[in-house]
Amino acid sequence: MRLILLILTGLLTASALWANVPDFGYAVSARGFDLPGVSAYEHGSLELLWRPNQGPLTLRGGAALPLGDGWFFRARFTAAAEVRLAALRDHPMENWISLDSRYAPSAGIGGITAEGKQVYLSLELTPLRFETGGGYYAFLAPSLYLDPRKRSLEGWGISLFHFGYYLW
Amino acid sequence: MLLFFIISVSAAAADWAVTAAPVSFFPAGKHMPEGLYAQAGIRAALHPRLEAELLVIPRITPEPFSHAAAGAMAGFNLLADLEDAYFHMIADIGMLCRFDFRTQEKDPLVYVRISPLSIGNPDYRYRERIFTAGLLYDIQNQTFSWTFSTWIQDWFVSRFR
Repeated sequence: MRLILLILTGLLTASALWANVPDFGYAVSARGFDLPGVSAYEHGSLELLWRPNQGPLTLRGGAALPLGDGWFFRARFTAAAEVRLAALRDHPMENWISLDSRYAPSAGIGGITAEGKQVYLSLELTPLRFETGGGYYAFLAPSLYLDPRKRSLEGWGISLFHFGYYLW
Repeated sequence: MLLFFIISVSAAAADWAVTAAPVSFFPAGKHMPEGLYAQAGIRAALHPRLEAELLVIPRITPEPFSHAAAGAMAGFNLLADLEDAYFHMIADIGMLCRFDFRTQEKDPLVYVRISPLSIGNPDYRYRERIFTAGLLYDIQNQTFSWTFSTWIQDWFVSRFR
């Protein structure tokens, strides 16, 4: 029994050799839109994240559910690639983030589905984004939506908060 | 005015916080039209068990600031004194005034909220009120609706270094 426990303990300890900083995670956000074919209700959004090699690029994809307006039946699918523009350790908002944080604004490009098989191109800017050890916290991130076929601006949206956590 | 005076005076001596939260109104259209709403406010600890909050809840999308609600709340720490515990349960009661800036209409609403789990206190400089549910009562039309906030963040600015 002791030998088994010793082997198990040794294996568990050795497994730390292959442990990595997580690259995959999830994000939750509260979003609103002024966009044809997308509900005007508040949307709760859940997305999966992939940050290759803990670099400045984050890819995310998921769904936004209009709360109280069809829920899953009117869900919109979203995908985006965002790039961190800077990473400043000493920043004026340090007091407002409970964890040790870096100011890390980002910009991104992506897409969102709408009614009638419409897909809009999105341009996103996240000026209030703060990275902590295992994720990020972002607030008040505006986005513009373009119709790629008409090449016209079709609407806008905003994310009140966007919290991402890297777990795997 | 009296509440504002109390908060102003207390803010100099007691702990006070800046608050922010998303707010969802259900069913949409009953008291507030559909859309994304955000709460911003100031909350002061007047007593170990009593807090007061001034708040404004504007509509953000699809028509920014076409509608809003503003008001004052009194909050009660139900389980313990504010500084004695890390986990709390908070009940709020107050009044909101609902504004429709397009028609210039305004109506009073009674607002009751319960935050079943609140994590943090002024010593930690932060507090998160989780899964806060609220009940709105329109006095003139005698109708009810409810609100939900996934979380309400309190930043105890009075303790910032």
